[in-house]
Amino acid sequence: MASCAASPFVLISSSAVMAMGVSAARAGDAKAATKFLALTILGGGIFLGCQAYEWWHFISEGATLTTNPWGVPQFSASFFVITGFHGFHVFTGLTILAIVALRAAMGKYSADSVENAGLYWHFVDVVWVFVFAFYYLM
Amino acid sequence: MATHELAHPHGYKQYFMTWLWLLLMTAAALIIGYFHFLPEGIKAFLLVSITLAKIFLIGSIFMHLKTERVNLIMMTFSPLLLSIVLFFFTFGETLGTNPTHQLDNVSPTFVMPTGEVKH
Repeated sequence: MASCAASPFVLISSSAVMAMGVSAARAGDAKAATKFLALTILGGGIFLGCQAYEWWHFISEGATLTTNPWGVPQFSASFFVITGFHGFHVFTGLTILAIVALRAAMGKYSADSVENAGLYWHFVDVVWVFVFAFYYLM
Repeated sequence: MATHELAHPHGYKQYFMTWLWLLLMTAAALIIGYFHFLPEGIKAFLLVSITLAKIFLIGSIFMHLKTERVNLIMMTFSPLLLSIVLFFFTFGETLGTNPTHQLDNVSPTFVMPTGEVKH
């Protein structure tokens, strides 16, 4: 419960620092952009950790793609597929961000590349806003 | 910092304020979702409203859509209209039934191609 309740706050916070990173990159401040990108990666990493813990918890209680100890199997299947695909997108985003952050740290980056990585990251955040409302709160 | 403020006069402050609003709305959604003090219909309406408010805020401020051309903004949000169409494909089936994650709906019925009904 604590894990999944923290996840939207973590992802929203990482989205906010990503927007600041884009702003810094546009202003030509590579040092600040790198710092904000690192914070974004940290937020994404914490989010993935929360998700992994939650999956481990549900699976250890007997939930799988075809079985659900608390209700119909379809909900379990849908939950694992949706959160799994989202988690994979987060992992992909972290990989992109790590490459952009490394390039920014070396001074070899363009503001457009930071902005593009940022747009992808915000998209991942927007999807989680929907998933969290419809799968955890409804 | 001063150079950023010259380049982006409202940059960090605007992002910070947006972040605070998003945190506030997320907290409100958590309270509405986890503590069952509202009727289901009102709860669902409020959660969908908060979700839409959050995505409009993220889209317009963090993704800079509010400074884009109207055509691009309309193109970005047009899938929302399609999602409403998709919603009505399955919404009829949910009317009059319990939410699928409740225990009393645990045994679904399958109708086999032979016409045999299995529980």
